[in-house]
Amino acid sequence: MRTHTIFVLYLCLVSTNSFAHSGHIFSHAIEACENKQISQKCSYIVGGEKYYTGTCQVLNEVKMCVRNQPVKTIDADSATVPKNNTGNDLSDDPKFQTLNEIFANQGLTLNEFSVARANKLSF
Amino acid sequence: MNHIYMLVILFGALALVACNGTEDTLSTGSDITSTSSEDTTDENNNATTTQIGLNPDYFFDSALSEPIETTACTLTDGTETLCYEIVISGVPSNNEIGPFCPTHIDDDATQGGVWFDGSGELYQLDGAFIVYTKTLYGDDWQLYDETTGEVFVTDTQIACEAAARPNVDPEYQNHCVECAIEYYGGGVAQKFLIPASPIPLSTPEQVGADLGVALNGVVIAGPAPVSAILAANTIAAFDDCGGHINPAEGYHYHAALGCSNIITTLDGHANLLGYALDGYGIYAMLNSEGEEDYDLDECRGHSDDSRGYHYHAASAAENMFIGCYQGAQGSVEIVQ
Repeated sequence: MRTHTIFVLYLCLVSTNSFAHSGHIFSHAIEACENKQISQKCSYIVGGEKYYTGTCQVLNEVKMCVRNQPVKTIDADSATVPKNNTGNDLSDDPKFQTLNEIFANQGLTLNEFSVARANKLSF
Repeated sequence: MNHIYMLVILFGALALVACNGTEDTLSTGSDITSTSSEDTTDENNNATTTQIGLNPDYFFDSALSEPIETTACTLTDGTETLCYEIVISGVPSNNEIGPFCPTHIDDDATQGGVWFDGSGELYQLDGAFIVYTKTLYGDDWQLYDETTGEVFVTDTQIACEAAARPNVDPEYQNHCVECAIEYYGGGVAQKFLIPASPIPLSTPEQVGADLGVALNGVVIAGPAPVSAILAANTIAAFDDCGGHINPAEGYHYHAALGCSNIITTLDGHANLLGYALDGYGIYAMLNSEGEEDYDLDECRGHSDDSRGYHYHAASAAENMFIGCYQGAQGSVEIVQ
């Protein structure tokens, strides 16, 4: 059951194509705030490797995640730390939001994400 | 070369360079000569952030219908103060509007604009993307004639308005939607009242449909309602400046793509692109090194000594400029 839940979450997080092929209209920024209050932290993932973090705000009557940190990239297969836009390692940056924080916002641990991503090849 | 260019910008008798490289003269309000600056204090009378307001001289002259004046106004928090009255003509002063939709699936990126759906991707709206929508959004998408390759585009005022309304006319589903500014008198004039000295709020306030004005005289709008647009199997195409036209307010921007930017300082800070309704400046996302700041607040703003509090726009792919207001807002209305 837990594995199934993780996989479903993984699909929601990573596979934009799964939405596309089903015809579902998606917006990661809106989905990231579906069960959150205004000003709560939020995060979402684009393309399986770009991480957006910010807070939930209401813009033009729609609640969505407003990013206020630079987009981070990650190689989840090797579980390395994120890098900034220019590819520099952010592990020493005092303002760096750890991966575990990012995934905690998504209801996952880094290990769970890595497992789910690894399992992608099996499906 | 860049240094010479920047010096010319800053010290060369008020020359401005727009995104297409054309030069424009600066607006000179009759009684306005410089940026307003004011220190604020907290409840214990301690000095806090310097409030640096809108500089009328930064607006492109031909973007405005009238010289900028000051007038009494009441802000959203009830503060009665002085505002700048900024009247725009409704068209950008420094570049042409469009193109929006490609007309054929063989068209390249120069023959269409861009599209963003809030998913974090910025798409070039070329013919190939029109074909790709079936893969991206679903099998019920068919934006072109499979026999001829012609793209279904709303190419009349009737079609534009039938497709731009909230309940899209079924006849215009599966269309690339665009409207011509000529349908609306060549531009919808709007009047902004923006506080001359920003009034900080204790709690941020929400952004509505329109949130500010670009230096080239274009309305800066909140996020485009892409979910509703896509739900009707339509693409409400943006041009390469992130703008498009609707019947209600004419041409307006939904994304920052560099078409109203000016360099205001030599410190490598991001370029100024416009002002929010609360009087704080909106700057581009990245500085001259291509980097984004780490200390932005929930509204996507922060303070420094040169600019006081100011915002940084999000990327175009995020379908937004700023996240909220940190100051009491003036207003915007269509000039009848």
